[in-house]
Amino acid sequence: MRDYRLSLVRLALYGLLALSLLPVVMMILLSLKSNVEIITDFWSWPNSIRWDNYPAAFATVAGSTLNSLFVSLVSCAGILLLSSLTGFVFARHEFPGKELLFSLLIALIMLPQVLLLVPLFIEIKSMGLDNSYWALILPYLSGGQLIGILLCRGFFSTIPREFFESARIDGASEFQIYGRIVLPLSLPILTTVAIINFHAIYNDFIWPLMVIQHQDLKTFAVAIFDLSTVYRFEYGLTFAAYVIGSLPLVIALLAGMKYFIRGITEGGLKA
Amino acid sequence: MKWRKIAQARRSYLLIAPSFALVAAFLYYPALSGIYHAFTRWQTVGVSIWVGIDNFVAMASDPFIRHGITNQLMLSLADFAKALIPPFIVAELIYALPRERERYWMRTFFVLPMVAPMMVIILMWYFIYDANMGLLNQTLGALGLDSWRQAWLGDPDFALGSIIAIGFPWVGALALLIFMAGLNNIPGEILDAARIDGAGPLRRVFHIDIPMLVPQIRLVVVLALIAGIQDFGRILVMTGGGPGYATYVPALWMYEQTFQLAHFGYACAIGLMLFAIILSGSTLVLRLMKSDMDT
Repeated sequence: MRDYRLSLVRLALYGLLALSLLPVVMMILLSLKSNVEIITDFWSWPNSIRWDNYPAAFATVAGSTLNSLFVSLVSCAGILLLSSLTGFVFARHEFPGKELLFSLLIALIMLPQVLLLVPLFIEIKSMGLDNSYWALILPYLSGGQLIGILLCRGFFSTIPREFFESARIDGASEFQIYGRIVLPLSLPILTTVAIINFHAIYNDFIWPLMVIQHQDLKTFAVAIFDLSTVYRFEYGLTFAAYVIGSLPLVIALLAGMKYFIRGITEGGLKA
Repeated sequence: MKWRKIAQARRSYLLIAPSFALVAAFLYYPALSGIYHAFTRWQTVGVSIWVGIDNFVAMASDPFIRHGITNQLMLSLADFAKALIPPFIVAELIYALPRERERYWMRTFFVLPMVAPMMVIILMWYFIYDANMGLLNQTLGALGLDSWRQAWLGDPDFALGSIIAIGFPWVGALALLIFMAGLNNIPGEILDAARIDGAGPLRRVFHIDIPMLVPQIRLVVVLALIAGIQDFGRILVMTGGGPGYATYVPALWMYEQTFQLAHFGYACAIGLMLFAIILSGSTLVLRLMKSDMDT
């Protein structure tokens, strides 16, 4: 009886997993087939593995992929720095107005982007920042740090006080405490914050579409959308471009997967 | 006395200053500007005229807004269901596996689809739905179900449903991990007690797991709320709001008011309305879940 139930569970899991992975598998397989092969024989395994789609695809999306990667990396680095620093101060320092200031920050987590879209666009334009990476990085930093600050404050206040005091007795400066104790201990939580933000920033579409028109500065999501209208029937090339644009996410996820899963499953993310 | 305290805390203020500078410039300022300009006619940057509630009166008779709100309601309900139910079911299924190793690999594999960029997924579904070349119609044709073929995105009866179906089977990696964390944290004694009392797996799910997972459910709901209503990218790509009003949502109309008509004041008013809806909606949902399940 139990075995039979377990097989059902496995059957359901493997079925759902196959469906979830299907787009990824399809993307890779189709990128290795020629256009003719895709049209005439969609489901077949590639006749022979063809890499010829890749050079052309690389020429069309390498630039935008690098733009996205750059913007996401810089924003994430800033977000990590700000959320650990500000989170640390709120967890460990005492100062007048602390709780008020904290709620002024945290209330913004629930602020929907839709209210900001138009006025922020006009603000960025008036500052002359449109068509520059700043138009992306500055707003991403401002919004992305918030959840990080909340999580870091929560995490840092669980580190026992003695940790800090013994370090201070040993003559460590505040900076050394931050660099040698706080940062290493908070690696899982920071990796989680980094991956969530990297993913969100890399995938963002509407905001870059609004503020970047220069061809050379476009991010991957916008560039691939443009391409879909130009190369409508170049399937092989398009799918190879999809694979190239996925690489930064593959690398980010591979690098952080262990901490990401641990950070969420053990970090006790709650609302 | 208080001033001395503030002076002593100078360093703390200095350390949190960068965070606050960014938040003031790129969140508080545009939010207040958006709220103010919702009550103005604003068509050139720098020139806005106070018009009171005119924009909101205009909205009441704007068919794009009326149809948009209905469509948005359907999309949001579907988004909630998609954000909560499939990840929860998969989390329970993985949790039912006996060996830790198998559970570990399962959850790892379910996180993998995160590597495909969102826009790639949307464009692949666009390809699937294509009326002539599309995978869906071709497959239906091959199965001899020619009468089921549709112009999935071009037919007003199917367009919204087709957009909702994007991403099937909707096992969100983040929600899945959050739920698995919640399940792992349920104390063993409670589960043992349930087993001794003879509760089957289904009763355990409804009477123990779901009530114990309220904090995680609330987090996933909040994340879905924040992401959902402003996500008109998929609609912009798939249908552009059409055919007719069939897939318009207010946020897309706001975008078009800004970029095609330069009606910034009206666009801000739409933004403010959506903000009010999201805020009251999320407060309501969170309050309901609190009073209902914590007791």
